[in-house]
Amino acid sequence: MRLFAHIDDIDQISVFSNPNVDVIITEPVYSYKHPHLQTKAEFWKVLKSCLKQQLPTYIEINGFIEENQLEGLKPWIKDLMDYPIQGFYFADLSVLMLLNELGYQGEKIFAPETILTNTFEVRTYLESVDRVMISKELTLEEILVICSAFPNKVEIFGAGHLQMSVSKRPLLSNYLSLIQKEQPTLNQTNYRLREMKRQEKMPILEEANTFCVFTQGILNPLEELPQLQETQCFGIHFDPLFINKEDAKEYFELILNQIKSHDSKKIEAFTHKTSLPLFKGYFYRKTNLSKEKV
Amino acid sequence: MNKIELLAPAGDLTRAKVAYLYGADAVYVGGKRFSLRARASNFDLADLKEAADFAHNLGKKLFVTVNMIAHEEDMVQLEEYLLDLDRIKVDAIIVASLYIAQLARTLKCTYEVHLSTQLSVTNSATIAYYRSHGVDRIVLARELDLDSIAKISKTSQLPTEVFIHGGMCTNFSGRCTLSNDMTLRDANRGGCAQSCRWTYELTKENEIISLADNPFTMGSKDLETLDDIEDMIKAGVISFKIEGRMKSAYYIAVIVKTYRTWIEALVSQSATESLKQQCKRELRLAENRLTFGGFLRSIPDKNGQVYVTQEDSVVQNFIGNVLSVVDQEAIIEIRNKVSLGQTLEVFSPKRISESFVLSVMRDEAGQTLPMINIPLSRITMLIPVDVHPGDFIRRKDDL
Repeated sequence: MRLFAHIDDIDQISVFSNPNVDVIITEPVYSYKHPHLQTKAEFWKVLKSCLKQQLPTYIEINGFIEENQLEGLKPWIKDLMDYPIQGFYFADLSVLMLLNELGYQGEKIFAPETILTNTFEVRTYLESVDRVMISKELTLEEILVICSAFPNKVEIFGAGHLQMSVSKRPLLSNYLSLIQKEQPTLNQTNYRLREMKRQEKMPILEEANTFCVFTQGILNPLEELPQLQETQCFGIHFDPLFINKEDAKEYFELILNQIKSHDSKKIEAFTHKTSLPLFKGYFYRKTNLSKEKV
Repeated sequence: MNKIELLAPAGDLTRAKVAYLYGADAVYVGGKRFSLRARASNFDLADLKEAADFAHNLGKKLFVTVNMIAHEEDMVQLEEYLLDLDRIKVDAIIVASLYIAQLARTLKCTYEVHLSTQLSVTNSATIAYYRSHGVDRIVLARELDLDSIAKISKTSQLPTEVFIHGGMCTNFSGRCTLSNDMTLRDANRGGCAQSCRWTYELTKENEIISLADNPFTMGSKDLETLDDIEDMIKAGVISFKIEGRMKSAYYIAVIVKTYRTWIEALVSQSATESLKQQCKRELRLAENRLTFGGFLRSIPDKNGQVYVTQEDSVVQNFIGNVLSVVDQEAIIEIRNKVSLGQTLEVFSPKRISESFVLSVMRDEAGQTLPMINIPLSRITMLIPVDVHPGDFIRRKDDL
């Protein structure tokens, strides 16, 4: 099983430099969730650096592509195709259409955040792409069923804050404008929301075209890695967004080591001492309640 | 101009019939399974058959939502259900699943397959992908502006459908799991708890930024697009969709009739500013929430959100449903407060009556009532104008 690390900062490259790790760089023009990688120049710098160090490198285009962006997206993909990257992750199928039109031969991975929630849907999309990244709101049992059905074709979000929502509205700026407390919001990673009846402080991120809310908890797949490996899950994704560099490095290395060799004592030691708000996401929480059942 | 379809929602048979009678060309409803809006008193197969027959007798259409983003456990008896819908002769299913779209084709179902806004389609290249996989129509993402809608509608190889009125997700549809995380209710399986409408404390570096009496919230105002209908007709949109399978029969009647009136006026080139203002007033009086124009003209600013302290408020004028009529005395099922001496009017599919002053109101025991404010109670009203069962009684407002 591969470990995919999302890179948003050139300093992270040395951390992720490992033969068993693939890196994913979110391009800055048509995507969101890249607060530290805003310009094409920064993006090229990180991409070239990854390639120079011979890291298996993927590019992610995760935005909702609008009609007037199609014209610019095509030459941009063409530019990216000139580099020896492994493949493209995308959430919008227009990217797939353009990759096909341009005759792209690398890997194409559909990663729409939600939607891919059962084997029927996964099988259907796998007729068009090489692999898929399935939804986050799945239980471990559901994940294992899907991974088993499609060995080495399925990836999951494995570690990091879970993205809960994405809006095209600048909800943070709108609110600050309402209460007349305007201040910098763009690409800031230090704002949090707490629902009035709860304690969790959820990270939020406002970027040029989106506003996202994330879970306070950081997904912890450590104990589940053997089962995921057994079902031939192709890879798990590690996203250090909102996690400080030292903690991210330690957590990342532990996951990497556990993929190589499972050691429950090391996991126990880490989870005891870490201050990271680790949680199990939806692994053991079914989200099938209705108002009547609550 | 293209033939314009006005597509209305309905949570049950009564509301479906109301939608047709008040001017909808097509109605979309949910079945008992595989549909979102779990609380929208969805239709069983017998209801669906009755709705389809009712629609077809009027030369209209019935669409069925099969738009749940299903997990493995939800997929039981899907094939049988799709075939049942074909036997009932529904005109289209609305799906958020490529698998279900293709399965309907494999099963040789004769209805159309429409792709739900749950998939947030925002461009013609994505539409081309879905077209090649058996989809017949696209419900566009609500985040698109007029220019994008026009470009897509002109270049796309599939007909486009656009939401014109009703509730809006603040997040991209189908991509929100706030409800999943906070309540274990899956927004994509009909369980949305509307966590975006809750209130939140906003902090930065542990410093509280939000105001206690006006906290952070993400809830959206509802969509209202009367001003932009003409441009969307010119853009080539073929179907105008109203949101609200959980809304009341009265709400559906008013919204459908108002947009029908306005669309007909535009098509017949008889639209006037005065009629537009009249239509806007009708819409405003039926609203449950404040409204705005969505993304059509610009990215929503603070005026597109519902906050706790809001200077505007909604005004509703609905009094009740007419159940039966004998000699100008009508049995009314009450929904909102009404008092003797108030000026009322009758709202029916064909017209709005002349106003009248309420002079007689009795309870079921025959006792005179000066005022009633008990929802669903049945009272007798003297109504000195033409009135029929199924009509609605409402306050004549001066707004």
